[in-house]
Amino acid sequence: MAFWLRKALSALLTLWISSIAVFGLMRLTPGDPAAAVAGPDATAAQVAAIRAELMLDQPLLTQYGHWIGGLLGGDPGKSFQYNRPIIDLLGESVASTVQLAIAGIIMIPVVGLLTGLALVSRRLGKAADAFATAALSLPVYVSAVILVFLFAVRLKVLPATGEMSFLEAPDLSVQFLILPGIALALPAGAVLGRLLATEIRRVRQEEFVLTARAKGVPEKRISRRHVLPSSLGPFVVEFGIGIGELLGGAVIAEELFARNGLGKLMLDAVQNRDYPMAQLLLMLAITIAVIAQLVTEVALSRLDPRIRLEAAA
Amino acid sequence: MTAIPADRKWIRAGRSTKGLAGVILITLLVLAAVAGPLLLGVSPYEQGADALAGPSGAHLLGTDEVGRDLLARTLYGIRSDLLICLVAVPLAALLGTGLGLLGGLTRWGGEVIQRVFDVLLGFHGVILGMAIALVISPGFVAVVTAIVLITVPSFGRQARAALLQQLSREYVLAATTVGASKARVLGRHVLPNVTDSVTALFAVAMANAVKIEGGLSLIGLGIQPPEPSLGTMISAGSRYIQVAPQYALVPVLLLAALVLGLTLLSDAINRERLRS
Repeated sequence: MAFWLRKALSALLTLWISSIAVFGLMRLTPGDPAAAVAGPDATAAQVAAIRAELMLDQPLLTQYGHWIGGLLGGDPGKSFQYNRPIIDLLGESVASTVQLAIAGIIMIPVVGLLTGLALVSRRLGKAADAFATAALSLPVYVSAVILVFLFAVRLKVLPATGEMSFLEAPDLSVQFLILPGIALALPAGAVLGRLLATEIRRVRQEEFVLTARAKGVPEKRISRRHVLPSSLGPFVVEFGIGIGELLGGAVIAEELFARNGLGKLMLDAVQNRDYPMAQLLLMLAITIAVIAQLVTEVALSRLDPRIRLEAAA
Repeated sequence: MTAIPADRKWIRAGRSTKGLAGVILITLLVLAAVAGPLLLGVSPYEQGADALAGPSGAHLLGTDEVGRDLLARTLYGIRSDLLICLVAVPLAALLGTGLGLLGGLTRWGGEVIQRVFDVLLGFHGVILGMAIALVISPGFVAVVTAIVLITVPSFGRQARAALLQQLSREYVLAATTVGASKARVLGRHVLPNVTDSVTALFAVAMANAVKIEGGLSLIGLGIQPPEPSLGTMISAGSRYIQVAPQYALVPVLLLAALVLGLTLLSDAINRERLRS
């Protein structure tokens, strides 16, 4: 079987198991989920109405089938706390998170380029190495708080929290995106920087290229076929992980920078026990992560045939 | 190739500059968490009249929004982070290693366990924490559960890989040939070698546990106020960063120091392992 097909089937299986787990969460809740949703002041009739709407009075298999059918059919139902279709709420929040993600993705090569060049410079090398180690290991919220303190509290050049729509006020919206964008991009940017530094050092030495050249491999082919693909691997992996962790990172970044995106919507849903919305957003987060993982693995196997061959053996 | 006793490897890891820096950072933080509150003698819960006061002789780091001493809360915060790590990580190591070994020994069990690990790895730490918050109400138990579930797969995979690698070694074959039972081969020969690679993961897992506690507490799903933890302090403090920057900054820097110390230590241990 083709490598990508096997991986795709395995991803589908993972998604299916995850969907059972997410579905099971509400049923695992101690006590009556309908009563938890209704709140402490609800009457028995209200609780019963919610139970019927959540389909909690139906057999488990029917409930699961209804839920999955709704997800696949594009109609995930209504949010409890807002009493509105979930799709509408998603539509209102998705733009904010997409802007944040794009800001992060743009910042990755910026951070990477600066870190890489600093790493190979004689004066900044040691400091850049310490910076890269810190950027790699520290969580988003640590860099976020430090960035806000430096640029919003001390220098007062950028706003600390809030957001603007990019379509309404592009210049202002970019100001709000710079700090969260850098915070989100630091880990992946540091990896890219390290890679770049290694690459520069290698090109400086050139001995390994000499071997290929001695065999008669044309110059262009050496860099395109041998050097570049084999050094891109870690970057592809980091990028895939970054996309997969997008929603998780967004929950933290949106909380700290007071943005109203998907992460905030999800946190709201969990805190208010809005099960239909929480379940949908959980499945969305898992699906994004699984697809990112799948694309990463397939891309890696294209770059490095050994992965494909090992998996087949 | 003689096996160096594990404890000596740790000492060696502390000899490199980075490893030493890691050990010093961790030691200082542990000392601050254990001895700090005793030396200070101030309650982290007692409220005062001065809200959001700046650093002074009475309150070295100032006070929070209800007049509690920030230094006391920070020191107790480190303590609660360390406690969470020391409960969650050994639990995850034990559970993960057990499942990994089981998976390496039985074919079908291995498939199922790998699949469960894949599902768990698909979750971002914060997302898994949120899913758990839907079932268990937020607090110490929920944070520990989240950390265990996130950490178990890495220990499991490591143990399984180490086991499969050891099983194909010649000494295992030799032991089997001279008539040692399967249990004896595993217990006497394979397990000590697997343990070695699992200890190296410990420091990494600790660093991750600190990050997860911070992340979950930050979004209100971790340790619940009035209990102090580094995460809850960063969460509350970031709201007052304009008027009292030290409120969020000090816990952020301490959390960073803890994570960095553990990362440097794990790097050093790994280098030692590769060398021997």
